[in-house]
Amino acid sequence: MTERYLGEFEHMVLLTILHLRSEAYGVRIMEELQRRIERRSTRGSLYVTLDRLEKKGLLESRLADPTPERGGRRKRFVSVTPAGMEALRKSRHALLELWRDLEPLLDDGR
Amino acid sequence: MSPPPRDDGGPSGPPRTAERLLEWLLPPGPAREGLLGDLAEEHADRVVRDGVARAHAWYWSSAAGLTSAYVIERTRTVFAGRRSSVTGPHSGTGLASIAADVRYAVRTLSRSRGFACAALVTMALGIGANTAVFAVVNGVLFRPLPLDDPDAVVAVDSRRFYGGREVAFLRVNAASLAAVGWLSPGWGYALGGGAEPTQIQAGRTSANILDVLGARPALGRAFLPGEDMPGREDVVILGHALWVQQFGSDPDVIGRRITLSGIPHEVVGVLPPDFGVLGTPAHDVWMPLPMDPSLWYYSGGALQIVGRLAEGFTLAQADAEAAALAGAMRAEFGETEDYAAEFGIVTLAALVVGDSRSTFLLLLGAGAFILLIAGANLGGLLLARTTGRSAEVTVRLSLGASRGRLIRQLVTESAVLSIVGGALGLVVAFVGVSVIVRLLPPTTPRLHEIAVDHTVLLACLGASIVTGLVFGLAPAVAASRTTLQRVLRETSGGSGTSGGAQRMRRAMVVAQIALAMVLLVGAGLMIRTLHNLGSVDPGFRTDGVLTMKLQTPGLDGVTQIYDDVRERVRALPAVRSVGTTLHFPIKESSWTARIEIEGVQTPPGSALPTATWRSVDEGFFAALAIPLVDGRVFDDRDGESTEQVVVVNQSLARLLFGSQPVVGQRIRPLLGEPDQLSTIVGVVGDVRTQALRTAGGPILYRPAAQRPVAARTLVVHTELDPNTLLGPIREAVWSVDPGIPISDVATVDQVLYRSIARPRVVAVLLGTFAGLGLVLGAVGVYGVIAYSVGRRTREIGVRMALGAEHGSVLGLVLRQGMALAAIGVVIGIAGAVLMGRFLASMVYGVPTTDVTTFAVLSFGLFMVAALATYLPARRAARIDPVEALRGS
Repeated sequence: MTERYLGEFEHMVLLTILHLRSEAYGVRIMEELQRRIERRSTRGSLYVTLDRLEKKGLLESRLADPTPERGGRRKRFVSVTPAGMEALRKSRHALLELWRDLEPLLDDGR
Repeated sequence: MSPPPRDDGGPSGPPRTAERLLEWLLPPGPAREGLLGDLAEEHADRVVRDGVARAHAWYWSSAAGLTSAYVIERTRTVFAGRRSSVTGPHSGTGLASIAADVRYAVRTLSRSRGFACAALVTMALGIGANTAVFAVVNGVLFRPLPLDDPDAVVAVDSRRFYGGREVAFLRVNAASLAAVGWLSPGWGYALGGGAEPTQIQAGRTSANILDVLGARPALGRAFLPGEDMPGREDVVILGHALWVQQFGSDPDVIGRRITLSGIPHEVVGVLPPDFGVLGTPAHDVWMPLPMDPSLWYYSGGALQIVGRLAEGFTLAQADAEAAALAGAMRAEFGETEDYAAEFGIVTLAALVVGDSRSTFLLLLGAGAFILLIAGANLGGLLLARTTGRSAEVTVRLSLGASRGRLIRQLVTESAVLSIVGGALGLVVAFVGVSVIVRLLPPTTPRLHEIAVDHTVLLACLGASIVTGLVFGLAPAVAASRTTLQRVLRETSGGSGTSGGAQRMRRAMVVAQIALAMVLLVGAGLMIRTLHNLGSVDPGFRTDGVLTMKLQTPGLDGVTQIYDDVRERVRALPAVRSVGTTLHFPIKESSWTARIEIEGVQTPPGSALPTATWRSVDEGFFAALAIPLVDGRVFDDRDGESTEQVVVVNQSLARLLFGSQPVVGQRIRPLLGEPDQLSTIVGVVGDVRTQALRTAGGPILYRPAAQRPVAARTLVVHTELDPNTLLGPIREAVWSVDPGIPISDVATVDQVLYRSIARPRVVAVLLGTFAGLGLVLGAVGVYGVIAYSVGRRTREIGVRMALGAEHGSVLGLVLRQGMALAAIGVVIGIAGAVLMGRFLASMVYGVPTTDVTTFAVLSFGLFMVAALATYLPARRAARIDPVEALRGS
């Protein structure tokens, strides 16, 4: 099986989770994505991505205690697994490798 | 206490239907838990920021977005890497070939989008409407009560009340009943100790009630034997909802003492969440009801004797035994001839559902009709489609495909359509269920048990598959009869399909029109019923009157408290008159009493006259404008220690004394208290008390001062819009005693409006279904006629070339459509007459064979069919003969 790199959105989600440290759960991740890079993600795509990342073993989640403002439901906190860190490292490396010597191109438009 | 939430998860919780849809769609687990929690959290934020309506809208759109995202993701993972190169359906058997058929069907259908869309919308509406109705009926009628072995839980079925004497007799003598107890809907209590005064509804039972019902407390214990004896009844079992809301789900509540209407009670248990035995979840607590085993009556209202079938006995045996015991009971108690005349045993479930059964079965029938209409429509569409595919079919037949194989492929196609249509229908059903639940009166038995559960899903799937097979098979067989010769022959004749297929299409159109006609008549009769009920004069004032339930903490000084309340409310500007009553007419059922007339010996074996009774005060008659016919109504003279007085209505006056003078006569109402002679001081007009559709019957009014009750309805007649006075009235009540809970605020108009919720829901659903049926039927007519015109282009061209006028061509085609419509309408009228029998108990003020309704709706349906025919007919009349002949 050929190894794949992280998809763009997967990549962003994983990084956002790292920024949030132990505070990462659905609503916060959406807010943080919006705040940092003004990316408005749909709820559907975010949750589907979280599920997919967990299934791939790049994320793990734990449930906190239920609270009344959540209708008695529990909060699902997510954190990046070692496999997830490895995937991030690989993707970052690949991107940096591809970008090498190309930075001047970006300045052309100025 | 407000009733438990219905469709909204409380005042600010997320919309329940949307939440349930998500719960159902997503696999259970932490992911779902987290997601729903996130949504709930953000929803709560939005409620604060944007208001409930916009927060709900946001939730629904989020739910829709999530649904599609998950469906796409699921499809992606299932089909990833599976794009095999299936070029056509393989022959062979087994799952693989079915899968191949399905893939082929999906591909073919995606090529003819218009057809697929029409078929899918038809099926989604048909199956959705049918499933929604089934979900409601299933929740109310079919699903067993949430009890252990619910079929063994039985009840004495009788219109008469029985008491401790009969229970004691049955406990000794009925071999078929393992346990016998009693159950009363009970009444309101004031719950003390909270921040705000709260009124709760207490059900009252025998001590063995949980054994009888086969339920166990979730926490603590059941009542102990003997706790239904007088003096030992200060124990209470909390309902689950109250335990969560008022006691924060605290397990240590067991053993705590709570104050109910001023009397401390010990909490001994908490019930499981789904315990709703009388069909309504409105009971906040259950308390023992002491009953003297020697008394024949019980004075506290409606009482139900319940029991559990003994091992090895059937319901029929228990019923037969009860009938046999009735005579023995009558002899033992020295009762009159009419006593226990209808003493029988039924299941508790049957009793709970009661007379709403026929309503729900009717709705189920209407749901089946709409499914049949949709199926017939699908059949028509499929038949039309076979026409366009005769070339494909012919090629495959001549290349050696067997007929059976071909039929299977075509049936698979219709099955795919109906299953996908069914899946879409499920979304329609989810919305439909929440709409119907909102429409249904809150008093509907088992309303809270209505849900789209596994049974409903299976039924939906089953309906989809059966519809696809039944209505897909005939067109498939017709298509497979195509032979090369016939195709060649018919193509040269300008036709593309067998006459059989066209005949079948017409039959399906006729069926649709007939079914639509039945639904239309049903809807028409119910709409007239609503109109008639809306114009009934209930005998009391309906506008400008506000009602609300009050409850004093106990019976001490209750008369003084209500006198003060009345005085302060009347002092408010714009208030004209104020009164109170136990049991508001139409909203609440009242208690009954048998009546003896002073000096009249009742011959042994004959029955005493019966009346419902109410405890009211002097302001009641004025506030509701109930006319005084003779004598006087209550006033300051009628106190606790003065002579016992009553006011009767005209019906009771007639029943007791015929045309004799009534005022001044003395009667003895048998109420289970020390029964005293009372003097009739006045006669008032009749009012409707049970429902708008039935006359109120004999009523006995007793002065509240002589028959004090803690829970009363305050009736306020105002000059202004009564709703604007709610705030000041509340303040006035609480200035007397801040511990008085106020609940159930409604204007009299609202009370009456709610009382006809059931006919309204039937009218709305039948109306919706009839409209749907009408549209589908019209589309069916249009399709058949348009197709026929297309097929006969050449023939019509020839006729016109030979001198036929536009008008005669128009008439030719119109006649064709009108003939179909006429046959459908006639069959439909016959069906509607039959349906009338089921509607008979629901209509009011209109016969079920009402000629006007039938005539108007037949004409309307006919006109719609005419319009659907006119469009293709006009096209036929515009055919240019030269073009038509050249084209062939």
